[in-house]
Amino acid sequence: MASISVPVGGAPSQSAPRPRLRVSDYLRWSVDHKIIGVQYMVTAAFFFIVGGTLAMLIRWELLTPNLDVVQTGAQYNSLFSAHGLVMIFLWIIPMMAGFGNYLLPLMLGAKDMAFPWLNAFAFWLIPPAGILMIGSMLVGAPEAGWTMYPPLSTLFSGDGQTLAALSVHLLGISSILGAINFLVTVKNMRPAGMSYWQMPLFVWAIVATSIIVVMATPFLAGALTLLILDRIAGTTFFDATKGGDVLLWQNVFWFYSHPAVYIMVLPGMGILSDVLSVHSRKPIFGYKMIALSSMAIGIVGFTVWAHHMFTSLQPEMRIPFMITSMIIAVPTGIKIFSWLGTLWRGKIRFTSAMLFSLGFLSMFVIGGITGVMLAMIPFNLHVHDTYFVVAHLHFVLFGGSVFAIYSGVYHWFPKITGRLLDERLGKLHFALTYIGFFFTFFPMHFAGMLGMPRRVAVYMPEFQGLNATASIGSFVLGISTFLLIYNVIASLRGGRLAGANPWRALTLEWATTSPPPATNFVGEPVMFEDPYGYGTEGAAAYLDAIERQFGAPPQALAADKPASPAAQGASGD
Amino acid sequence: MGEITSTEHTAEKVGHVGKHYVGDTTTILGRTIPLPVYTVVYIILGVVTVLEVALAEVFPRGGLTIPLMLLLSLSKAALVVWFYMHLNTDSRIFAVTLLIPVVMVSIATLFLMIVPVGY
Amino acid sequence: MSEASVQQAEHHAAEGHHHNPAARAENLKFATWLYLASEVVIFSVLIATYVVFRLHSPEVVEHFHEGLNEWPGIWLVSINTFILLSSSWAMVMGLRQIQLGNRQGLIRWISLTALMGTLFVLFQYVEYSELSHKGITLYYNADGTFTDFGMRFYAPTAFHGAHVIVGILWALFVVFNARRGGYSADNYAGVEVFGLYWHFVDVVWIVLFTLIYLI
Repeated sequence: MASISVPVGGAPSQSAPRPRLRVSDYLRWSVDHKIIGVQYMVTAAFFFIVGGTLAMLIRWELLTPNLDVVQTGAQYNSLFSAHGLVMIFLWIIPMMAGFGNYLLPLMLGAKDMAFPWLNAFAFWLIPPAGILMIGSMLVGAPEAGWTMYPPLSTLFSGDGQTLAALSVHLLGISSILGAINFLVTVKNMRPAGMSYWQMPLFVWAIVATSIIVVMATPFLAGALTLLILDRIAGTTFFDATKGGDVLLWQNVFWFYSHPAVYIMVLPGMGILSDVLSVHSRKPIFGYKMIALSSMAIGIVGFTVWAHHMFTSLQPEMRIPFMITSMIIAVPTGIKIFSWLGTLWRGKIRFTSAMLFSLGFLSMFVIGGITGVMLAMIPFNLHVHDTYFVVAHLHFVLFGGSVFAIYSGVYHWFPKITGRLLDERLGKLHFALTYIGFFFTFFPMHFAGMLGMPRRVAVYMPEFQGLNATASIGSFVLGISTFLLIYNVIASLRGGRLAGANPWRALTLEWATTSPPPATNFVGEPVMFEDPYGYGTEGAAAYLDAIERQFGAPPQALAADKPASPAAQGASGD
Repeated sequence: MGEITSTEHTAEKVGHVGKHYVGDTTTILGRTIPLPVYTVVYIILGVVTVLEVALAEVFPRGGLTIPLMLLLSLSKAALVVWFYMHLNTDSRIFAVTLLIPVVMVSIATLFLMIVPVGY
Repeated sequence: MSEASVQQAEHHAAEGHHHNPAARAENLKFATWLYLASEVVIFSVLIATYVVFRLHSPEVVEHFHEGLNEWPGIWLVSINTFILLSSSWAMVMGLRQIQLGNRQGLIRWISLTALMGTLFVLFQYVEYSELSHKGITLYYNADGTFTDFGMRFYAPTAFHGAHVIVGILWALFVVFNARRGGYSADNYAGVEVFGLYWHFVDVVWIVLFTLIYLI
């Protein structure tokens, strides 16, 4: 494979301007997608801590069956409402957008997104939205949960509900603008010679996600507009006593919010596809099926919304939604088995990134199975709005999305900063997160089956054992987060230098220095024919050429590599 | 709509994307009219609008009135999208971008029309 | 790297991947279509709210339509519809002029578009005040009962009106740009994407007019 011995543009690495960005560069308006990506991630992480603090308060309250942390049920309502809104709209969705922003142009060998200014604008909608959201907790907090069902959200919640709705409105606009940018970038800015079927699977996941964002988020925008009108202009769209229709909100909200579940998890699945393949040194199993199943999930995701309304829908309308909700497990299953096929007989390196991806696999499967259980009408009627649902959604959103985010952080931190995160701390972080997560949310299944309703501060004493277990688990989970924060700060200062391509990955974002120069690549990057073609001589030659060009990772990393060049050749790295 | 084509003689067919002149004449059902296709479409839109208003206000209502008006309205919309928004010559992806949400919201609206309201 | 050189690099990055206008036009048009796709959905929420009401309470809507029989009533709205259709025609004729390299023609036609858009908004205002004289407001029906019609009527039509106002401002911006020598026979993507938006607003009105005033 001599033809690919020099994979990247002719300019020698010494001339590549290494950006030395200061903190102040991240605090001002910038149109560089790499800066914007980090801005997204750091902002999202801040709100993760806010939402996490709220979660800790919730679990502290639920340690005993009586009111102790909060004085009234209304205060508890505002706790879980704010927790849900912050975690979904200000943590997971912006965090995924951050990964997309940072990685998409790099993976496509482009200098930037199609619309850099629009990109920056989309990001800068988030801080005001975050301020509105936090402000909403101070002026009569929203009490209607993240689902904001009227009449709770129209007749009962405080003024904060209006601010929260405005905040979500802004965040919706931000994600639509971001998604438009992603789609145009992918369609028009792929490098010459990269077909759709040679894009990294993360890019495919972002495409599917962006389609959902563009098509679904406006439903929420429309519904929120009507809600805000009801709250401040005196209309009665959702007031059944004055000619309105309460169910309209539920329908339109879930038109958006069920697809939104896939907005939150599809990018995570994209991260997983990349991480699993790189760290098990094997081609991804079923590339096309994984890419197409993302699209299938996106499409079928639009047809299942009413399974959230089995108790308020007339009986004959339930059956179709039960069927579609079960069908959506098929593309998800295809992905799971493809990932297992990727791992099968691979040379797995148990790095922190890999561990979190494996954690995703195990936990998301549980969340997926409970999802199918919830799709069954009789079972759903039994556990509707109980802790079983809470357990399910946290298994897919925390066990799924957040584990994938953690995995992505460990995997791409070296590219973003030029330094590796500490692996020992990372493994400890994984262990604590995994155990803490499991003991927080698994007992909730039992509590729900036994009939404990969600969104209550006071519960029957016989549930205390399960709740105390969950609370203690959640404190472990909370502590584990600080390990990651410490790891990030410590590694930024004194982490091991990563080199251009510490994991010896084939996708284009690694074919440049870490962190990449302001123009991403010096000269035109040359892609390898197959982004997951690990284990071929061509791949090994390509990776060696990248090391020659940009410098090999420092010696300390050699343990992660095969012992000798000969062994490497034999194993076909 | 396939019957209406722009006769392009003011400009040569230009190679690169997104550049498509509309000529001074239009061929419709085999006859050439000395008006640009935009003007022809405009006239059709006006006539159909008059027809719609007449259907609603002048003629007595029958069972077919509403479907007929919907059909006329949709064909007006289609004419604008097809000729004024250049879906006839632009990338197919644009048409798909429009069709996906239109189909989706039609299904969603139909669903909302089926479920009972008022509680 | 110094502050200046970071900005320089950013400036370079901001120019994007493509430097040729055709690729830029493709980017802009695709982005506009995606934006319009999301607009389809947000309008559909308001339209669906009306349609469901129309289906379940036909008598209220018939009452409204009878009210339209008095002058100016339906004629005002029909003329307004015609004005908006004409503005769309003026828009494409303007686009055709710049494609032929005639910037003066572009300025004339787009100014006409903006003028007709303004007339539309003006007539809509007249119509709204006529209706509120008849007692159809956001809160109450003509007979003094709580509205179930008013809010569902005003929400989509006013939202559409807001889009027209944005379109007028955009049209004036295009005219302003053209007067400064902004567009040419090779570079008219800015006009084209404005056209997409304006025609979309027109299409929404075509649907709204039939659904609300005629059916």
